[in-house]
Amino acid sequence: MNAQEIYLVVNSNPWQALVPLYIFFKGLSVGALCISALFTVFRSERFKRLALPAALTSLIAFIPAPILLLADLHQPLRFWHLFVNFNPTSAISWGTWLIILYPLCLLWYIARLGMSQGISLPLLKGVQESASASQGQRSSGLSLRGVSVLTLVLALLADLYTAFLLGVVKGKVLWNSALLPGYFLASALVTGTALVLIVYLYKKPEEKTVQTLARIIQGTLVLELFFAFSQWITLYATNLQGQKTVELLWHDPKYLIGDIFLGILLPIVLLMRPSVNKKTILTISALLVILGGLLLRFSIVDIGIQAAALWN
Amino acid sequence: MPAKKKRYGMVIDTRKCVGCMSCTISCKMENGVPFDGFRAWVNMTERGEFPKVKRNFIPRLCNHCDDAPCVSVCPVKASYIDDDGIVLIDQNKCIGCGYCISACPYSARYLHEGLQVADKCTFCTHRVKAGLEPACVHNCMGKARIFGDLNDPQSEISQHIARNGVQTLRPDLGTNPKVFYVDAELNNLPNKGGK
Ligand code: SF4
Ligand code: SF4
Repeated sequence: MNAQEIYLVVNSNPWQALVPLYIFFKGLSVGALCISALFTVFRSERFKRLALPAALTSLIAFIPAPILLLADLHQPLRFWHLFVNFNPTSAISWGTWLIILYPLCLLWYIARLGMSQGISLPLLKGVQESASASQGQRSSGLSLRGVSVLTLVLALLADLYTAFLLGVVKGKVLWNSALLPGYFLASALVTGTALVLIVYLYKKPEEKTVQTLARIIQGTLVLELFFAFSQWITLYATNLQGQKTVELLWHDPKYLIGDIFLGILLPIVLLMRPSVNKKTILTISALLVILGGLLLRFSIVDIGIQAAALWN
Repeated sequence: MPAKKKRYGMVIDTRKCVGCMSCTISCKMENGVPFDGFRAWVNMTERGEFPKVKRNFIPRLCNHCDDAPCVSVCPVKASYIDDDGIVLIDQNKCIGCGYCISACPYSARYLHEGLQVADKCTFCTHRVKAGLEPACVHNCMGKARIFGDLNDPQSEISQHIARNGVQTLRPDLGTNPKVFYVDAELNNLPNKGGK
């Protein structure tokens, strides 16, 4: 029997630009923090000089996130309802606490990191004073590591919750995928690293560190490509909705030209032989990577909604 | 023995629906539904091969799912299932985050442009409490809608379900809708999981 829906009504979805922008800025912050953690958690000496600038970059990148989130609520003055009505089955309930704890811990981390490097941060003077008071007799190295591990874990959770927020939604095949958390995390890492690279390039960069950052970006971009391919193949094999979703993705210039071509493939090539002397090329590549990450968030949110609309 | 709790549901017999859209209009009037949102609407399908082609209508509304994704995702517990199985929104509690709107696989929710909170079909709970039928049922000229207590085997809705084959929308999602369709051939619609 041949049957098809020829006229259907779909209520519009209120998630527009602010949601992908929020996910993007949070990812930027988490990615930059990961670079800082290469020294403070994973003890890579190469990143010692970069640890504090990366952490500060992470903090600055985070600033728009809560503003965007609040602006996206259609009843922003009721935001406090989130604190008094915790729903354990809602990703937003968990995320609310994560995006409060993460920046607080990040401030603490930056203060401790600054202290350990003998740098006083005027804006964080109060935090540094209370950190040194609470530090008491303990060795500063161990304590800093503890704070670093805690901050990194909170950062990763704060990034991952948005992937789960989308991932648990039934009937939207683009979102309801086990690949999404890994994909989002890879994109967060690569955009954050690209931002740190731009900051670092204008702070007397060391050749080796620049090369390592470029390699991290390249490697993570390849990982992103892997996630993109896996997504296409699994979606295409799933069902008709999956096939339509892949078609919509491929017809979306934000995704195909913006993310895949400009944000992934081009930077992989441009970063082939990274060197401090190629500041302009490195900066352009990093900017392209950041643009790609932004457009990826937009297309995942938009196409996820569009593709599912016909299947309601 | 204590009286069994009510579990309200609806059957839509598509054989009787003529596509007049009075349900859509009466719902809008009864509940002050704004221009760009729908609590109740009517989709159209075409079935068969030329020259034996038939158009039929699939009236739609919130399915008042037993396992409602919109309820489980609401971060402030503004969406809830009441004692009679009706999925409702406490609009004084709702922060307008839109998560339930994205999480509803049936596009049954929308953001009320005036109130700036989520809105959807309530089975006209204010009328039901007053002993009346929902507005869409009351105004259906083809008598295609039957509303009632699914827990009462003697109710018209339970009898209709027992006598006719019924289907629900997207049963694959495990939402357990309480809106049932007769002769909608949902399994033949490619975008409903059919072939
Ligand atoms: S149809 Fe949508 S809004 Fe209604 S109960 Fe089910 S998930 Fe919630
Ligand atoms: S829009 Fe309102 S009802 Fe829907 S999830 Fe957000 S707070 Fe809950």
